[in-house]
Amino acid sequence: MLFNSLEFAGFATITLILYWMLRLRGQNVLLLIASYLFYSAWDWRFLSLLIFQSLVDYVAGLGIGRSEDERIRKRYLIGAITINLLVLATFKYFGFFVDSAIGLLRWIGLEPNPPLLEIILPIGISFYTFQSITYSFDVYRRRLPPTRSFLNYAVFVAYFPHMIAGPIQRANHLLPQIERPRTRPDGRQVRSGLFLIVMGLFKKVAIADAVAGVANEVFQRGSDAGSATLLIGVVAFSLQIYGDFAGYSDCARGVSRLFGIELTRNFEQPYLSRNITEFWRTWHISLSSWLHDYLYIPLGGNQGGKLITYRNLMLTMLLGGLWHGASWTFVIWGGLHGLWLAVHRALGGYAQRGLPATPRWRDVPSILATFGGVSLLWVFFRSGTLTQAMDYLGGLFSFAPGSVDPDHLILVAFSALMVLVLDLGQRITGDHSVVLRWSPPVRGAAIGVLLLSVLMWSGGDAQPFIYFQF
Amino acid sequence: MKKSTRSAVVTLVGFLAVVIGAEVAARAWLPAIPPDAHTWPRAEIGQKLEQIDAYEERGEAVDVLFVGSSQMAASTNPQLFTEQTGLSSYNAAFAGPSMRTVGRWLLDIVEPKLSPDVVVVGIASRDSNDRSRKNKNVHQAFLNSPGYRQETANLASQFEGWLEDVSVFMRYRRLMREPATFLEGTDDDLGSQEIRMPIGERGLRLIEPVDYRFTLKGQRRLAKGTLGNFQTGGREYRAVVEMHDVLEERGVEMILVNMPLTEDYLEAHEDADADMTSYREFLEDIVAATGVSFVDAEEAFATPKAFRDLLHLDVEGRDAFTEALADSWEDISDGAHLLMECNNKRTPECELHPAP
Repeated sequence: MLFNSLEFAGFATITLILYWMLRLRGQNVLLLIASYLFYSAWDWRFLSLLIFQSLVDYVAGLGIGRSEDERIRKRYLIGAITINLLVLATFKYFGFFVDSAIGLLRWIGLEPNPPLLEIILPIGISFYTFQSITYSFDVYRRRLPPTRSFLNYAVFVAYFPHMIAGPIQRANHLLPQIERPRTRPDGRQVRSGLFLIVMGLFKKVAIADAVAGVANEVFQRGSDAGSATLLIGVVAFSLQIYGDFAGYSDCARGVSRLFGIELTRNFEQPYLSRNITEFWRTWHISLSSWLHDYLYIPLGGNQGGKLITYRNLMLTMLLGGLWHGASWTFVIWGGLHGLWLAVHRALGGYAQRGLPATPRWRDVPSILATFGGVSLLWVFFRSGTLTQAMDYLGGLFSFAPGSVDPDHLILVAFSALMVLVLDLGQRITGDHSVVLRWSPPVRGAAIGVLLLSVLMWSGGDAQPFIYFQF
Repeated sequence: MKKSTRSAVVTLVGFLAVVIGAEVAARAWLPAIPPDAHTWPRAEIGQKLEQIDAYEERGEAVDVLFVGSSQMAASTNPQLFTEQTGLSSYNAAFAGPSMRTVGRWLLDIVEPKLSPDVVVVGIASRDSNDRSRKNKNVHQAFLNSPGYRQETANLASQFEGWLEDVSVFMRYRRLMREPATFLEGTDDDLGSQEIRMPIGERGLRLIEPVDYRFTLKGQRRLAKGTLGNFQTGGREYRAVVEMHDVLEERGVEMILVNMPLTEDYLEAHEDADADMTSYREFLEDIVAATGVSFVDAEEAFATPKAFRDLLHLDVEGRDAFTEALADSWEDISDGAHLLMECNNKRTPECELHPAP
């Protein structure tokens, strides 16, 4: 059940109508049923796994909260994290580790013959596992009291607007909202929630899906396509993944706002970043801040000298890459980002915390350079194998001539323009719903353009979101 | 009027101005495109569907169903096949589609209505070109047609169909997604072909015998339209595999026939050697992946005498091709791989042999 489908529209509308007819406990029961139904629509077989992981963290949270003995508290924490990571490792990384071990054994001349074992990846597992870990950690660090209600905890883990692909919510942000009575959103909140949904659909359908065909075709052709086409393919994928994921996040926030629950922002115009550090502060914020708080800082952060800082950056980004998928292409992608971050830091690079400043004309070269570098690294992310990635990059830098499909050029240029206009508007005003500030006729016209664009690109089979595979 | 109400009304006016403006612009921009889409992109589809519906209403069984593009439509005589084998048959092939469109026509519409035991799918290199714009446009025109929507209707597609009936913008929005191609104009593919075919019983195309006619224009049209930018695999590959797998689930056997071609057709390829090698690998991959029974008739006719043009058999070629299938019908099953060979007579005769 995709956000960009009529099934989801019907499902969310019915749930919303029932939701606001109920009191807090009834609302949470309804949210849990709806969330489990939503998850079951993807694959009901893994619902038991989701419930099992919820139970583990709930019990661990109670255990941590009940004890004042640091050793016992730590045991509960380690137990919860170990079980979560074991589940993740089994379902997501088992095949990867086995394949890599076989490759290594073959490389040293052995011929292993392991039994064939195909493990299906439960959808959303990386997201809800990381979210569960934040709960145990935050209770352990006494940032949050453990919840006594399994119902509330289960809703926190499975809350359907964000469970499949985030934003990954911190327990101390989302759980209190689930435990407290919600106030019915006023007219302004409803308008902004609906607008976020429209904006999310626009980014997904009219930007990401519009250039998805270009990226798919060019990546399928590989180095044969000619350098100019390969360049268009890279830019197309950069726009696709941004539109796709930011669109999902906007829809998730918009739907959740209608339920009276605020989710955190996941993107802050990342392609306007002037350097790689700024990019990672504005791209997939919920994951990058998770990695910062729960991996980089526990590793020592920047407190152990320069070399330790660079090591920590590399480790964090390598694991961040691996989080995306069980493949060496993701590891390389993460590693190269880690290297870039370390080099940027070594050269004295800096990015201020909080929302980056509005770009000025003199920032254009650094913005373009950052976008170019990030786009090149997306080649590893998008390619199925390292060979394919190297073939693609080899073709790109061969500067081989080749004809450019004018449709591809127009679609990518138009999508890039749309991203630029939307992101600049948001950056300048600091408001994701900037259109709602405009005068009524302009606002109406802008909503008309967004909806017509969605309609123009709708029809046929709805395209799944890229991040659903993680 | 309250300020908030006035604001909402003005917002709505702005919204409607854009929507109406887009519709007006679409109508002004698209004068060459007929304002009313026909039920099907090709009249032949509607004609055959009328016959198919009549079969379904009568509860009349069809044992063998032929599907594919115009090659199969023109090159197989179902009446003769039924006479020869005693098996009821129907030729549901029509002009224009590649494998992805044949797949939707077969699986969504024809097979459920006729419930055949065996489906014979005709294929040629043109049907395997995943990057052909014509194949893509024909497919979109087929899926967008009111006829397909009515046949496969759910609530959402009915609503979409209603929107497309009242709005030119909505009707042609898929074509606008390829702006450069759209501005060039591709009227042939836009669903305006209301040419009715003379069609007899069992979906037989009624054609008069003619001598082989080669035209450079026809060859160029083929080269530009369907064979250019040649690349096998992708959607066309998946469509054939899906046809096989879904038919197998429904208890229907599938036979794949590599259709007869002329040398002039092969020359329409930009690089005939490379393209045909890629096409044969495409066929081998399908056979390996599905285990489908396969008849290779691509080089069955040594000269173009049996053809009426680059890729369509004439009456005598058609009957010889059909008789060969009928004569060896018992042998074409369980993953058999057969080769068709024909003699060079004015009235040719063909036979199937196990492929080496």
